[in-house]
Amino acid sequence: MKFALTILSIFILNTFAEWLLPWWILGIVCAAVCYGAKLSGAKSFLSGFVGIALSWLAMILWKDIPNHHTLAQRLAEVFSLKGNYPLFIVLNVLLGSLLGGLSGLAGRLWRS
Amino acid sequence: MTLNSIPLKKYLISLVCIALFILLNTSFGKLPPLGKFMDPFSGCWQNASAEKPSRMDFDFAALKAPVTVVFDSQMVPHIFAKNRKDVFFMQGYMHAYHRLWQMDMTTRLASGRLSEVAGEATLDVDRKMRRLGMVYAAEKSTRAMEQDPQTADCLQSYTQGVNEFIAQLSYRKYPLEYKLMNFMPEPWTPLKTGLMLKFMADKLSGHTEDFELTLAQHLFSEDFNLLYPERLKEEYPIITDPYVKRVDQGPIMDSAATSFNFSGRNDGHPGHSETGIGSNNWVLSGKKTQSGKPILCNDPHLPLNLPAIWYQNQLVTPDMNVYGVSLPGAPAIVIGFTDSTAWGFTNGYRDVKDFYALKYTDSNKTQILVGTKTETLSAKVETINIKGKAPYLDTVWYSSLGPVMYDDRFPREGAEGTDFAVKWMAHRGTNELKALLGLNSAKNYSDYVKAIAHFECPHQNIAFASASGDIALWSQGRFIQKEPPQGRFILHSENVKDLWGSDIDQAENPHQLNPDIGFVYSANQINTGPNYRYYYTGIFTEERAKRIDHLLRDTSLFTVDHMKAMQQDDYGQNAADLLPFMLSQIDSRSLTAQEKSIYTALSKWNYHYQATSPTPSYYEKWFEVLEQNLYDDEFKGYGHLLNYPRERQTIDLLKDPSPFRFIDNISTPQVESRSDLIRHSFLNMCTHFKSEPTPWYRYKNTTANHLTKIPAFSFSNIMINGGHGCINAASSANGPSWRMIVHFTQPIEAWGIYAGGQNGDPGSVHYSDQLADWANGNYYRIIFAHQPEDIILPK
Repeated sequence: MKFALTILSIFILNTFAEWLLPWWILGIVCAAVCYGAKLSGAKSFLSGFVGIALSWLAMILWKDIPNHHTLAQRLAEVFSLKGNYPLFIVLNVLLGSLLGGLSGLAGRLWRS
Repeated sequence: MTLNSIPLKKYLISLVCIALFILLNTSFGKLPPLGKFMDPFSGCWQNASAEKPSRMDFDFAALKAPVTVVFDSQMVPHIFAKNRKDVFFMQGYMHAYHRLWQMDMTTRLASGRLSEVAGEATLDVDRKMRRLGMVYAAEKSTRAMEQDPQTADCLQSYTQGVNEFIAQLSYRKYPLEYKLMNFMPEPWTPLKTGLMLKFMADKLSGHTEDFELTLAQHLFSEDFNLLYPERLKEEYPIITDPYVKRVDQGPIMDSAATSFNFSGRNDGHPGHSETGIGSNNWVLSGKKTQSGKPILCNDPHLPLNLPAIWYQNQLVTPDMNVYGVSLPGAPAIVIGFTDSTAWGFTNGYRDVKDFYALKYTDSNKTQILVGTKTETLSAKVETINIKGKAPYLDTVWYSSLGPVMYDDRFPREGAEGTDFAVKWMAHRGTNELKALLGLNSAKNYSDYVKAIAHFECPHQNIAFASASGDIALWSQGRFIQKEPPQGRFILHSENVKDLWGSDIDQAENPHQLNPDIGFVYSANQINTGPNYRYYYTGIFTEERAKRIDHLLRDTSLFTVDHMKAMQQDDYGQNAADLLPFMLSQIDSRSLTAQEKSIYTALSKWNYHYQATSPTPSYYEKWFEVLEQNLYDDEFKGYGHLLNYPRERQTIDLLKDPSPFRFIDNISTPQVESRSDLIRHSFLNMCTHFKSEPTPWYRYKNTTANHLTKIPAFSFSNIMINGGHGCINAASSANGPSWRMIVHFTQPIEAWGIYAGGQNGDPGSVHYSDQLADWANGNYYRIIFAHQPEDIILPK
């Protein structure tokens, strides 16, 4: 329950914070929430990972679907993925999730 | 075991985190800062726009009255304002809204500031633009625009509008390319608009053959006129009115032309005269149309870049209503129509740019002879900022003969050791914006004539039609009185006869109003018959003119559908004029099966350049090989320092049975005949297609290239009929950049389409949404609204 709540908080807080502040605020959001939640190390990492994945994926899909994947396909070519845009989206989300996970873990580690 | 059993761990993980964030917020080489770029909340995903037709009301503090903008389904903004200032403010806002990065890059290119954002790779391009005097020219024209109250108001409002948009931009809303290249927009200035207009002047009047022809004259003096005649045997002058024949034919070139050293050698193939940037326009009077009303057609051929060079918009005020295409970066409509007039451009190609070999009078190269007078040069130090490197300083010397473009530090390939100044009509402080504003509110022929008097450079053939039934064409620009062959070759600063004389009175520019024949047209051909009073030279092409002339002479009455078909016409006039002769030189009995199949395809060909047919590829390759076999042996060692003779001259030389020494291949012991040359080239061509026949569209590879040439943002192998010599002039990089047809029925009916889309952002669905229809020859009916409610929005 606490685990799910942590993920949800990260998802909601990050979505607001990133809309208003520079992108790296996601690190601070994950660290702060995990510092407060006091979950295990693995769960802290996971909540950062999943929370950011949800937040990023939601934003991407919100822009990508009405756009008929126009941008996604072109960028998937720019980044040598031969236009495979689902893969581009997965990699893009993974980038944010890893940062979120690591930040969550880092935040938790400062809580004795 | 608790988490903190290893105390270092928290420091380590935190450090890794911080390092990662810093790394992903930094740009390396050509890569954008990846974290910042991929962030869905502000990065690239915010460019995945999906605009829908809509109505927007604007009430900025800078506006005098509220403005309504309605976007139709192509995202064309129809701007309804209460006054001219507001309408140009909103036009500036809309240009920036859809095309800001393109405006930025184009003016950077024109002003030699690309390296600031693109790094050292573009340094030579920047130096060239500075040395050509682009900024110097733009400054003069900007001053002229700012001194005229009408253009000053327009320019100021436009600039404010662009800046209104830029001011509210955050990283999130930057066009995608800013995020990719990791730089930010800067405020717009009137000078940038000046640069935009000079950029077009350079595109259209910047190409000369002075160096190539001077070298050719030096190498082939006795054959020079055979290879590069001033006039072709078969011509279709734009203006056919009888002119008074000039009395004084003037001196023929003196020996001074070859008095500098051609030091260069080059092993490549010779180049081709610039003919890709052409255009067609024609106007039918009411007596040639089924409706009895005039029809005007225009398709300017320009580089098929993305974002497209044109932007469609409609500007409406109580005293002006104009629809057409504009150049993002400059106010007003360039090609378009009002409720009572329409106009269209083709490039005039009259030579208005000359190079002077400089005669210095001192060893420090600070003084030159201009005629008999000594003149001191003035220095301008150009500072070129380079991304990731120290600035590059370049000194450019200025004279009354223009900036010294080529000198020791920037030598002209093939003519190293001589310094050259460039004198160019575009260096003058002309005010073409005034011409455009005049056209945008022209009610009749006399308004049009008054307006275009301000169109001085580049030279344009401006076709005109009015609702009242007038049709006209002016070959318009500012020209110098020259004596033959002044301006065709390199000029010499100390030669009094080489200096530019006085201007020609613009009333004497070639023009025609309501000719009996019922139509006017231009397609970059020679401007006048041989009796025109003034000498001029230029890079003219006749094949499209011949085809248009033929089609318009048809006695049936034309409709808009005929005009659409004519703009799509893919008939290759050059092939039609040459291929039968080439085939007659081949003995088909001696051919292999593959050669025979190509021979048969060519024999049956109707000269139409159909995208999916391999036959045009055969002909084009055959001609290309033939040209190389014909000239490359004699031109050997000079490569692209020379140009091939014009295609139609080569056609004449091949068909003309008189002896022509270039026919022989001088690297073989025997003497080749015309049929040897043609047969040989045919076999070479067949070898090229040995593996498989290449459909024409793949052979020519029509490409709409993004300005950065990033393939993901570009479209290659576009399946489109036509080619460089056809009316539908879709060649590899150039083509009909905007097709427009205006029919003066009541109300006006008009069609238009261009190769691209309204939104310049590669992430937008409107980035290239017109491209497929454009390639297929479809048109969009233009909505010429009088009030916002005329544009019906989907619910």
